[in-house]
Amino acid sequence: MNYRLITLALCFVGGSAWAEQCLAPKPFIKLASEQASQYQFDAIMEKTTAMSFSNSHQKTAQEPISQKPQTKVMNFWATWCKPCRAELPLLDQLKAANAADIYLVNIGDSEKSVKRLVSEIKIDYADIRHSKDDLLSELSLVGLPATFVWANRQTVFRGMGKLHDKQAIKTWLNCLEKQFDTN
Amino acid sequence: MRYFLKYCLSVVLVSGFSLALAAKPLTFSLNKQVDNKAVKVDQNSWKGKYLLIAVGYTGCPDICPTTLLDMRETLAELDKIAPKKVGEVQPLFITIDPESDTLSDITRYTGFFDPRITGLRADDFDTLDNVVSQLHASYGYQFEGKPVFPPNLPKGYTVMHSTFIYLYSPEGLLVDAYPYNMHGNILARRILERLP
Repeated sequence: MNYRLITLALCFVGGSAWAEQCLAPKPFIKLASEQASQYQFDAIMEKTTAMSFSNSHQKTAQEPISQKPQTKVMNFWATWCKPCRAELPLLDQLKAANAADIYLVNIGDSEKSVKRLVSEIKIDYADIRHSKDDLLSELSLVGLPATFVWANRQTVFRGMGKLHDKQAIKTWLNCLEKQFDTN
Repeated sequence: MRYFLKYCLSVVLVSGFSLALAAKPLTFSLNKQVDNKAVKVDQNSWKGKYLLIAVGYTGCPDICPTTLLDMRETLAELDKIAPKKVGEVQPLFITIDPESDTLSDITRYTGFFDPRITGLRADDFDTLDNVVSQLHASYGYQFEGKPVFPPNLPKGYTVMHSTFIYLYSPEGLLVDAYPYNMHGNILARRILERLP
């Protein structure tokens, strides 16, 4: 009987620990600490500029929250990149659901073409920013789309390629956010 | 199979570009779009210019290579450091997926980057193979993990291709080849070293 109880307890503890790891969905991988140190959120943000939009853009999140999410997501995209265009609504929906603090950084397109696309595919919630082409080489990115997630200053995830599973990503981001709360 | 063999061959050739320098002058006959109409172009259509050539396609399903961003950056860098020489270089982008890419698609796609980059499309696969083999580039198609071949490409096939950027002299001779992701500012300087 005691053994059964101990086994159950171990399963419970083990299961909780597993959940707390917040397993990253595809295509995200956790960067090694040395590599992660090269991708500081604030430093990258400084190399981008905010874009202003008409009143149809920048709605506030649908789900009321007590505070802004601490988990940060930065997605790099371009108008010529088909998978980028396809995943932008998914990221916007995650922002609408307050799953994370999300920034969509356009690489090198004209302001006019960015605004046209944003209007066409209705990006209403995420912050849209702009950067020059050379940011990609500075970040050693060999393709687009690319998405970074900062769970905290030391823990950085990178996803190369199109994001597919909104629910899995949302669950993961929520898990990361809870870890933030407990840190 | 011929595409696979071509891929293997290109790996060998890429590792020994000095051999390719002795190749015959480049010749091709492809289409570009002018005023919504297809216009035939060949190796003599840009007389006196160096041709900066890459191959690729517009429909990257999951992740898009940044070859044309490198070309755009290269042109921007040349504008800055050698404005009198930038006009001596003509960037060309040849689709290796003419089954999916229309001439309008490839023209629109290159236009996203820089209007000076000309998108080109072959009329048929023999014409495409001819130019691709001269470049020592390679391409092929897969479906469910297995190679598939034109003209019977199944819906949902994926495309693979080599990613070098080639510089040809006005005489049609290979001058240099640059690996993927070299970045425009370096590429521009490497090209300038090759210009007279």
